[in-house]
Amino acid sequence: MKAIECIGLNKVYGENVAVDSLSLVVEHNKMTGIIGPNGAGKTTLLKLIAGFLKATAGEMRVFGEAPFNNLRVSANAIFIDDRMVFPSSLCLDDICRMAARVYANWDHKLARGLLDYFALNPKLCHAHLSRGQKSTVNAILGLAAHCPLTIFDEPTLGMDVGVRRDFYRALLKDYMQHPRSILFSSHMLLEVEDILEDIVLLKDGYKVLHLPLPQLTEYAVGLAGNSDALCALTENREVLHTRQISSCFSYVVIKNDLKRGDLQQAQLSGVDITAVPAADLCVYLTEQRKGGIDDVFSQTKSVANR
Amino acid sequence: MMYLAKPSLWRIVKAQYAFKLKAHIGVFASLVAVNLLGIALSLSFSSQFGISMGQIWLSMRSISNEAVLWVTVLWAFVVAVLLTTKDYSDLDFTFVSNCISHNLSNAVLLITWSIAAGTFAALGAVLLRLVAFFVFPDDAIVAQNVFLAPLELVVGAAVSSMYMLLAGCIGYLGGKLMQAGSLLALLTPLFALAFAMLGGGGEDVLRGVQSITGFIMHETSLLLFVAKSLGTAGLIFGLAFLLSHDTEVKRQ
Repeated sequence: MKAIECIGLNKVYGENVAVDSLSLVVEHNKMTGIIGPNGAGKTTLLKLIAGFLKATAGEMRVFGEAPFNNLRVSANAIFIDDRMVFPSSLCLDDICRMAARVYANWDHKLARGLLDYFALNPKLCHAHLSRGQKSTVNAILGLAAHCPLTIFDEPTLGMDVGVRRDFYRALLKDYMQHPRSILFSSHMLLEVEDILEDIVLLKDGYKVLHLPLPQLTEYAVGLAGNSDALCALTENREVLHTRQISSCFSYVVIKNDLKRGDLQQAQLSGVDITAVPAADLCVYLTEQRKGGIDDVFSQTKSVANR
Repeated sequence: MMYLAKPSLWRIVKAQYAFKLKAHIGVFASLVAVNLLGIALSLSFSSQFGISMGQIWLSMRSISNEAVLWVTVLWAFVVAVLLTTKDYSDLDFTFVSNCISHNLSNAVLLITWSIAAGTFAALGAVLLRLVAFFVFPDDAIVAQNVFLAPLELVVGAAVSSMYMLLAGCIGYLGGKLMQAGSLLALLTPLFALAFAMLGGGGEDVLRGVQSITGFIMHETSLLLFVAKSLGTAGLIFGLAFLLSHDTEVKRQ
């Protein structure tokens, strides 16, 4: 069963194209990470899926239905982010009670258990909590709702490291007990790669890739060695990332399609071949900056020396 | 696999209504404050005149509870506009909602607030009499309409509630227009009215406005008055509903 299916999806705000001809299929009961740098269109895509926004063009189906303004999709989805606002007249218990009334699978025991674990008194008012505590409460709502489609948009903003770690563990445990479709957006893949099954990588509103995580770790290789040897090795290949380590030593990332002959050539010319961590690869695939941050300083230095 | 829930619209509307009634409980405190303000205004703007007849100096003070009614009408208008602002309307979409359930629960909320405001305005009239009695202890009460029969009070509350509902629906429509970014749509009828008046058709326009308000305000039968008010409020709310039916929920 497909949880989400979109074909040629577009969302335009004035001149800004937030989502650009995006086609995507997410199978049901998968934990999918929506990864991308700031401004990649993660939040817009998630809001289109949740039915908050209307697509400018293209088609979008969530559990087989168009999500915009759809009560059925809304009843089967929950959208958690750090902008959830509750009036100061409501305590955490009131909010949980409301969620229990509208979500068929709401797990009140889990909600109370998690509130208790994170030392959040149910009589506390949501508006008076700290930013990290608000994020924790929102995340608890997302977990306990047990919605067939659970969307977390950067849910850990403001949380302490310890709380974040506990939340990831709680998410994984709950997902294993109650398999469902979970979308998790983050710009820090390193933290969440242990819990994700699939990755959708976005850049400037379009999809760079959609792969299971194990495939992503084998997607590219890093070559480190003499710059001339690397030049010969990477000729006619797409270079995903390059970094000058010293005057004659470089690091290059290319797609993992090296043949046996290439490997032998690399070994002979003293080039080290290493795996590229998924988090680093995502950065390389979406980076828009030219060169590295070091170049800025070397340029400034050379101008000063002149 | 987790089964897909089939939501019932009425169950969601009921839940949203109860949630918002509690979430916006503060409006009742503002209602009490507004009523007290109305009473204070009524007392300070009481008209007084005197006649001298030889040795006798007769002074008369007339107090009207209209100020209580009008400030409460203004309150109903303002809370309805507030209900359409981003923070208030985003609250529904935090959990399960679509535009239909959102607008329907707002309609029930406006009706509840209108009945509360109408009742408060009617009771305010009683309080005003009581306060006037203590504020002006030396005055002799000579006018009629000082003592209210319970039935009169109920009728007063019902009529006031209708005014509150109309004001609320107008505020809701205005708020939804502003949220939709159609400030132009909101100002166009006002400009058209102003131009018509400047163009020499002032009296015609005034007569037109009077005939519309007179359609409701000059109705002498209570049942017909309620029917006309509910019909007009329904029309205005329906327009707001149609305007906002396709709006995106920003949550930003």
